[in-house]
Amino acid sequence: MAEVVVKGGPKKAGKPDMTPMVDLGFLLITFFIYTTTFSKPNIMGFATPKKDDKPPEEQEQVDVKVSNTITILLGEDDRVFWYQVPLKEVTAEDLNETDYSADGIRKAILTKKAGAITPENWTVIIKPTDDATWKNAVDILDEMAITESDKKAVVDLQKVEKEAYYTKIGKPMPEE
Amino acid sequence: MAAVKPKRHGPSMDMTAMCDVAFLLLTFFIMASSFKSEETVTIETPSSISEELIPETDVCMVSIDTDGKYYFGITDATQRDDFAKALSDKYNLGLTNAEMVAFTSLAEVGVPMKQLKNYVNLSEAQRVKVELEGIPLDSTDSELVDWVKTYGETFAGSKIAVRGDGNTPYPALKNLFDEFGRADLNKFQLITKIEKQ
Repeated sequence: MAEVVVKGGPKKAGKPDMTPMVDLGFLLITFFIYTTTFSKPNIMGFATPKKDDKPPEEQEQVDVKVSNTITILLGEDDRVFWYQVPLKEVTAEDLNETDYSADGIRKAILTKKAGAITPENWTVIIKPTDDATWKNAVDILDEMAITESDKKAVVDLQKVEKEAYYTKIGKPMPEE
Repeated sequence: MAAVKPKRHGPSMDMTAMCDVAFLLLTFFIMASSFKSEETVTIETPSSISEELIPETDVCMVSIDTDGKYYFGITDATQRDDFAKALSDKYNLGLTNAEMVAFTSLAEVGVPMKQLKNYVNLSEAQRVKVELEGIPLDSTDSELVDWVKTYGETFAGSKIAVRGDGNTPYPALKNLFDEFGRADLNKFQLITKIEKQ
């Protein structure tokens, strides 16, 4: 067999061509980007009170002064209402309509919180109607974190509130 | 004076640096991400300012779609086979090993237990076509509570995450909190996404 004569003395280690390796690298990156999830979702702690099956009217009520509370009704079509009157006396005129923006419900909460007689007892009562969406509820819970209203309760509407709410939005109250 | 001619490079350039960058990025993406599981349902969660991230493990996830149907899922894929075994033993579903392996590829399950065996046996393409009825949860049949309780028994100290779509009507969530409250499950983690500023 004829010997191959290499010119120029001992063989130098040539630079390998890196192009295919780069191709492979980027191909793998593309693959990983497509098949993996990058961001992890956030969580928000939420605790519900112990369940009792009585209707809302008969459940044990913690006695909180009206001036230390604000009640927020989450309505249909991203509408939101708040009031600060004794529950038994609430009518459609007492409901103040606002929105979910910083100038809307947040301002209302902060104003009322600043006016609370005993700020350590400041409580926000959240009452989502059957027309509210989950986004509305999360938005309001988020406002609780923003306004630092630690005492909050998510409860069902009582009959007087339902009447006031349906009068306010001008719709007949649905039959139970 | 003779003009200095710049050294001209040929069309091929040194790829070593580029190769380094490519593999560096590759390493980063592998480290910083986790594999997607087959998603049964698309849920657009509402946003919040919360900065707490969902734990990697010991979380079961109850998803609620816009129709108010409930789905059950486990975030950590490595826990799914143990859960499938526990569920199968407890409620006599008769899942085979192969079916439990198939279960581990699912991010969510949206069928009642009775249909689970058939559902995991379907191929991925067939599963997409199935009309999911959701896991029942009402005063007559609170099956979803059984799923969550089984998970809680299998992995002590686990948390319940609630992943509702922003457009889900609130009564679907209220029903969930009510039914879970009856079973003495009162602590939830609500899944949200980061608020866009």
